[in-house]
Amino acid sequence: MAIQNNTYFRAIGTAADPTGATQINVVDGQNAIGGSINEIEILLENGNHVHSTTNRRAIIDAWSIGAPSSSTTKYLYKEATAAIVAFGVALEAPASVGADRQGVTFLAQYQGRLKVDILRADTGASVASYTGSNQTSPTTETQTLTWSTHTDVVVRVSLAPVASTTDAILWGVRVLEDQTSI
Amino acid sequence: MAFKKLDSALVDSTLMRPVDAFTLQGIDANNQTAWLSRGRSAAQGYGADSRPTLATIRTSGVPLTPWVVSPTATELTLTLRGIASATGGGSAVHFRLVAMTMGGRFIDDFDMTTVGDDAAVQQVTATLNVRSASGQPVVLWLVFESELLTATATSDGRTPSDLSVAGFKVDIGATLGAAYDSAKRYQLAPGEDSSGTIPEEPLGYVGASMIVNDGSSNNKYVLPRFGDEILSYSQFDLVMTELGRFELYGWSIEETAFDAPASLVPALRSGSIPRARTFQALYGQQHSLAFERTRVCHVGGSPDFEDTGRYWGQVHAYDEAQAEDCYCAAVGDLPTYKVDTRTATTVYRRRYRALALVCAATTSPSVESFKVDMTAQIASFSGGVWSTSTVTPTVAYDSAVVTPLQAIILDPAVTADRIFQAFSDGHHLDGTWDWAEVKAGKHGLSIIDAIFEEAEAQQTVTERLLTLRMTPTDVSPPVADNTDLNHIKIYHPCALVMIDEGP
Repeated sequence: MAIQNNTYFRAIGTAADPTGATQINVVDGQNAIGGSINEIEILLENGNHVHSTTNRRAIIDAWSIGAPSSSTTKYLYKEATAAIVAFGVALEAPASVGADRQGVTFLAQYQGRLKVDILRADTGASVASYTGSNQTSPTTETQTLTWSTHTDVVVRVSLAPVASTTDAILWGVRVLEDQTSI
Repeated sequence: MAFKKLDSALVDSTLMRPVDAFTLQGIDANNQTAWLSRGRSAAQGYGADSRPTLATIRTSGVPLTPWVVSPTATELTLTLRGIASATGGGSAVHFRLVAMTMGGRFIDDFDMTTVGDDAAVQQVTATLNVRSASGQPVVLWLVFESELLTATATSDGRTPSDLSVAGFKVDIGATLGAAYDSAKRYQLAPGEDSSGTIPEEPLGYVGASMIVNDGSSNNKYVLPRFGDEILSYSQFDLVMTELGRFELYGWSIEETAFDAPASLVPALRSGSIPRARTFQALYGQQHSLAFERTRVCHVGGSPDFEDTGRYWGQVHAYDEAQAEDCYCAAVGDLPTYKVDTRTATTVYRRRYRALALVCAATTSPSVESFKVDMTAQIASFSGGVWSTSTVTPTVAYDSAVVTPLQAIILDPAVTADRIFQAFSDGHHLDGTWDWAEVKAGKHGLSIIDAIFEEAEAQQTVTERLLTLRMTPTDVSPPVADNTDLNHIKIYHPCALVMIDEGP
């Protein structure tokens, strides 16, 4: 059989029972466990769950207050269009992922061309990167990035305007840890 | 401690007693691993063209975020990323992390981390022992000091006629004006005229101030304002000295140490009959991790990047009964649990907790306390637009009473002036607080600790945008609805949004 990798926590009895005592109890007074549930199975699967899924960190969450209306006057970053365009760093911040959690899904609200880099905090070397295509109107984009080994990283979001047509604007970005595969 | 992969074949038979001990000891070890490596963490970054620059003449602080310390967490680590600058090299700034409990107690180790001048971006950390606040909400402060770069000092003789706006404005003259660089930060300190012809008066000289705006003219605003003592001198020297500074790219906070539960291995040795109490303890550890160690969705403020005042967060003028957007955060993609059996319906833990700070400053001595109510609005993304599927969840515990700090009066209310004043050409204090005043309880902060839920139909949506809105009411003396009171400013420096604890 495979290793169980539940995305949910299995609550014994009710979720409000912090020890599962309503099901895990001594029924015959001789230190044996009774009842109809397989406690060890649940303990094993929950042990996997708390390591792989619990507390997936939103390692970065930065939003302009103008985000709900994609305002062109309130934003995190703006770079006006020009004849020759290049990526400019819109935002970068330190972040820390959990052990064995080197996989993230980012959500960005922007227009222009988006580039997201995950850098090693110690050397600045890139460990994962995504570059999107030109977007001439406000766009919501979700992508997944994975890497290995390093937990102290820097998330760098870069933007480039679309030549002669569209300013580069970043309204917000969230980077959320993915579930660990075990 | 590495995570142990345990195949489910270990538990698929009722006759597995010989391997029970092996399995259970592995589960116990995995619980310990998860306990130590699944701490809360979150970060905030600033747009590249609107990053705050930290510099100060006196110890200053900014509230980074409210934070709910996970139960058993004992240490927080703050990481700052940015560029430290000091002309001539050497130390630029010093900082530390301080936690303030809801009762106003400070957890402070007074251990400053020094950041040296470097043209390249650097990351620096500070830790804080928070064992005494384990499981409690706190407000985390970044406390910082600038290095005074005395080798850069430039002086010029000035007179009281160079002061204006009740000592808030100083004409630094052509000599100091030529040395002034708007990218840097400066202290101004009056002292004895170098000619020695003007004897010092018994009052002494006023303390140092900081230039707080970029303006191209030599007429600069200063905080704190120059006191009236300086008017007693017909001439004095004004010494301008550069301050070390730190351009803050972003920061992160992480729980990095825990009191882990005791190992249960002695009770799980081979040959021992598993006991209900031991199983309850194993399950209880997992339950705690799933229901208490919840995700932090957002920390920090939602800066208004068109605001050249460069406040630490949002600022609005008082507008009776009008709701203003104050904080924005991405939510959705909720954790789940099932009761008892694999076939049970998945239950989404769709309850959020938001701890939002609010304070106010006023120039009117007659303004008393007023009320601020908070509402939450959650919207879905749809083709880049958030206007669809907006729901307004019910918010419990949603209001605070705010007592404004007095600003721009003859009392040197430094903190309130920092919050209140705005300049069309940048504010060098970036909405920071004077730390001595904070320690004296004069921070003016109130906190709204609110709980609300996702709408039932939206709980499976992974991308949702939360906006926290605040509405001021009942200011005294009263005003009519829709009345904008520019002499009262409401400040929204930072908020925490997290998945609420409990099932």
